[in-house]
Amino acid sequence: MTHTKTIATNEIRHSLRNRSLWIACGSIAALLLLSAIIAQQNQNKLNAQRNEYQQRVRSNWLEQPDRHPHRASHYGYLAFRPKAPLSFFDSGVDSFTGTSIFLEPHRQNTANFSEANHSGGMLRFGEMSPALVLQLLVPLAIFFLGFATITGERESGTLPMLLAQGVTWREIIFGKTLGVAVMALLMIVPGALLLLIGRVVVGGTLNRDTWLRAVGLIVGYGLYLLIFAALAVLISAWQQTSRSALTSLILLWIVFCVVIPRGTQTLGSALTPAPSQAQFDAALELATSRAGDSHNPDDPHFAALRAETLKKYQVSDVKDLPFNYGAFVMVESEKISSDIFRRQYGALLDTFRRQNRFSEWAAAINPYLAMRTLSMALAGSDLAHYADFQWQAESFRFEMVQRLNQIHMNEIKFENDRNQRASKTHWQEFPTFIFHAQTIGWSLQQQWLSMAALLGWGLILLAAIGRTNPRIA
Amino acid sequence: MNRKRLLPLELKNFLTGRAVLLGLLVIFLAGVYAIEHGRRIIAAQQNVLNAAPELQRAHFEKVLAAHPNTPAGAIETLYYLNHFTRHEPSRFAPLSIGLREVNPYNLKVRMLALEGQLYNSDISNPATLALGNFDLSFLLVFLYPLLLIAFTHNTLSAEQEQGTWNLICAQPTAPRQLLWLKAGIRGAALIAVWLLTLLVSLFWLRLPLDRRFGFITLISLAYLLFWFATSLFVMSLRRSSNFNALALLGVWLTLTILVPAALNVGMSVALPVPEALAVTVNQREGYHAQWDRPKPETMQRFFQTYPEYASFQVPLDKFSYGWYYAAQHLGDVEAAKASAQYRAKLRQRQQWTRVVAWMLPTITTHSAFNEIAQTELENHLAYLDSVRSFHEQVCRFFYPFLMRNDTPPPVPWDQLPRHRFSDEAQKVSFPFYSLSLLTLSFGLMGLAMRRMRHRVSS
Repeated sequence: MTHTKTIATNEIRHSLRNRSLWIACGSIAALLLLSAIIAQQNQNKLNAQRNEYQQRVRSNWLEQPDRHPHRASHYGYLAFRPKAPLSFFDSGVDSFTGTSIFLEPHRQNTANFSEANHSGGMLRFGEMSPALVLQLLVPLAIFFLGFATITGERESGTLPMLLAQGVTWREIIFGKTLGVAVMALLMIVPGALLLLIGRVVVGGTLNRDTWLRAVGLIVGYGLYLLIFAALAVLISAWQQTSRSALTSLILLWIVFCVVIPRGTQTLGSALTPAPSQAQFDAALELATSRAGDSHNPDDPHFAALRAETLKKYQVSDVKDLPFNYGAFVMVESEKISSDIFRRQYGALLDTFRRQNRFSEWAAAINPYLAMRTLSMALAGSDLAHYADFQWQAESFRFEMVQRLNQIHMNEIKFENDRNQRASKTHWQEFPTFIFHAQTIGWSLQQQWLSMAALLGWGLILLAAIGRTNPRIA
Repeated sequence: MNRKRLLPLELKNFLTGRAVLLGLLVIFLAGVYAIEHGRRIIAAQQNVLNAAPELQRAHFEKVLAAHPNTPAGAIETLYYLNHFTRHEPSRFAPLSIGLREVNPYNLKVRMLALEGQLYNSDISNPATLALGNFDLSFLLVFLYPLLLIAFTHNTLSAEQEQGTWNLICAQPTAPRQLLWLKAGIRGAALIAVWLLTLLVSLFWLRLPLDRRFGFITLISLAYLLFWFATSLFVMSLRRSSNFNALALLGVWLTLTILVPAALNVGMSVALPVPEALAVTVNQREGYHAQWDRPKPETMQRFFQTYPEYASFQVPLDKFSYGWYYAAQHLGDVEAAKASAQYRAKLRQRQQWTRVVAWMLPTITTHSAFNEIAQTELENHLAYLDSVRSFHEQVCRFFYPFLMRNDTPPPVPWDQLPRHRFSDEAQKVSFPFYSLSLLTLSFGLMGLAMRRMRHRVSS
C-alpha cells in the first residue's frame, strides 16, 4: 500500500511540474466557478420573475369583486414553476419545458413559454453550467493527465526498474489512477468550495434535502471522475505508445460524450414515436365526447345522472333540487375530463419515458449517460420533476374548479343563474399555488439504472485493474 | 520523384489505413442516418399539416351540426370554431431542423383573445430537445471537424516522430510540397465524403438544385476549409502529435461548446424576457375586467380600435355576443404593449445570434444552414405575425354579424378567410456568411503557409 501512495504522490508531483497542464486545469477550475456564478445569477433572475408574477396572480385573485363562481373559474389561475435550488448546477431539460400553466375549467393546459421558445438557434449548442464542465471537460482533462502515465514509463524504460524494486503491477496502476484522480479533484475543489461558501454566505440557509442532494452529486461526480481516471490509466497500460493511448482516449471521449448520447436519444424517439399535438388533442376530444357530453341534453351518461339524482331527491324537475343542478353537472363533467386528461397525459409521459429508457440503458456502456441522467435527477431538472409540476398544477386546478363549482351549487340559484354573483369573501378561502419540491428519495426512485451503471463501471474497472497483465516493453 | 507520381502513392498510403477507411465509412453512414432522421421529423410534421384541412372540415361540420342552422345558431358556433393555420417546412428543413421542433407549426386559433393562444408549445420530449437533433448540420458542425483533426493533426509530426522526416528532407522533392500533398489528400478525402453525403441528400430528399443548395455546398466547404486551415496552422508550429491533438481539440471545444454555451447563458441574463409572463397575466386581466364594467364602457373602448362598427347598436342591458367578443378583444389590447415588447426582445435575441454568427465559424455555419432551411426564430416570429393578422381577418369577417341589435344575415361560410403564409420575404445573410467564412479560411490558410515556408526549409 505504501508503494501505491508513493506512486500517486510521484504522479501528482510530475503533473504539477507540467506547465501546459497547469494552464488546462486552471482554466477548467476557472470555468467551473464562472459557469456556476453565471448560472446561479440566471436562476435567481428567473425565480424572482416567476415569484413576482405568482404573487401578482395571487393578489389579482384576491382583489376580484363579487363574481359568479363560474366566472371566477374561467378567470382562473396561473401556476409558475420555480427552478429547483440546485438546477443552476445542472439545468437538465429545464430550458426545454414550459414555465407557466394557465389553470381554467373544462380544459387542461400544458405548460408554455419555455426558454427554448425564446431563444435563437444558439441553444442547440448547449448551455453553460457546472454540470457541463464536469461531465464533458473534466473527463477530457483527465484523459490528458493520464494517457502517458504507463506508456510514458514504458517509453522511458523506467517501468522494468519499478517492477524490479518489488512494486507490484497492481500497485502501479492503482497509484497512477489515484494520482490522476487527485489532480482532477484539485481542479474541482476550489470551485466547489467557493461555491458552497458563496451559497451559504450569500444565499442563506440550505435545507436538509438540498444538502443531501449536494452530497449525492459530490459522491456521484467523485465516482464518475474516478471511472475516467481508471479508464485513462488502463488504456495507457494496454497501449504500446503514448500517441496511440491518446488517440484511443480521444476517440473514446468523442464516442461517449458526443456520438452515443444524441444517437441513442434520436433512435429512442424514432422507435417509440410520440403523438403530435394535433393527434393528442383529437384523442382527448374523442375520449371526452365518448365519456359524456354535458352540453348534449340527450347524452346517455348525463341523462342517467339526471334520472338518478331526481330519484334520489324524490323530485320531478331539476329546478326543485336543493342545489344548483347546472353546477352539479359541471362537477361531474370536470371529474370526467380530469380523469381522461390524467390518463392521456400519463400515457404521453410514459412514451417519453420509454424514449429516454433507450439512453438510460445505453448508460450501461457509457458512464457519461449514466452521470448525466443521475445529475439531472439530483438537481431536480429532469423530465420526472417537470412532470411532477404538471401533476401538481392539475391537482390544484381540479380542486380550485371543484370548490368553485361547490359554491356555484350552493349559493347560486338554478333559475336566472347567469345574473347572480357570489360574495368576494369566498376568494380568501382559496389557497395559492405552492409547488412542493420532492425529496431526494423520490428523485432517485427512477435512477436505479444510472446508479447501477456507475457502480458497475467502477467495479468492472476495479476488476480490470486487478487483472491487467504487465506489458513491460 | 515528381508530384504526379507521388500523388497515387500517397493516396494509396493514406487510404490503406484501416482506421482511416473505417472513419470515412462511419461518418458517411452517420450522414445517411442524419438525412433520414431529418426527413422523418419533417415528414411527420408534413403529415400533420396534410391532415389539417380534412380535420378542419370535420371539425367545422361537427360544431355546425351541434347548433341550430340559423343565423343566431351560427353566431353561437363562433366560440367553438378553431381556425387552422400552418407553417409549412421548407424543402431544406430536413437538413437542419433548427427550432422547428421547439416551436409550434400548426396553431389553431379561436375568435377569443389571441395572446392566450399563441404560445402553447408543441408536444415534444424535452429530453430529446435538450440533447438536440442528429441532423446534417449537427454532423457537419460538430463531428466533421473532429474527424478532420484526427486525420490531419499528425501529418508532419508523425514523420518526425517516426524518424522518416529526415529521409523526406533528403529527397529531391521539396518537403513542403510533400507535406501539402499529404495534408491535402487527407482533407480532400473527408471533403469528398461530405460532398457525397450532400449528393445523397439531394436525391433522397429530392432537393431542388438551386441557389440555396449551392450556398449549402459553399458554406459547408468553407467551414471544412476553416478546420483544415486551423490544422495546417497548428502543424506549422512544429510541435508533437500530442500537442497538436490537444491544441486542435481545445479549439474545437472552445468553438463548438464553450463559447456558444457561455454566450447562450449570457444572452438569457442580458436579455431576460419577463414580458412573456406579463403577456399572459395582462391579457387575462384585460378581458375579465370587462365583466365587472358597465357594458357601454367596454364598447366605447372597442370602438376606439374599430370605429367602423360604432354605428351598429349592441344590446347593452344583457349579454350579447357583440359585447362578448369586444371584451375578448380588450384582453389583447391590454396585453398589446407587453406582447410588442416580447416580440422586440425576441428579435433582439435573434439579432444577437446574428452578430455572434459573424465571429464564430461554428455558429456562422449553423446559422446559415438554419437560415436556408428556414428553421430560425425569425421564421417562427414571421409565422406568428401571419397568425396574428389571420386572427384579425377572422374577427373582422365576423364582427359585422355580431355588432348589431337585430337578426344578422346568414354567414357566407365559403368566404371565410384562409390562413396563408410563406417564408419568402426573409432577411438573407447566408451569402455574406459564406463570404466571411471563406475569407477567414483562406486568410488562416495563407498564414499557415507563410509560417510553413519559414519553418520548414525547402
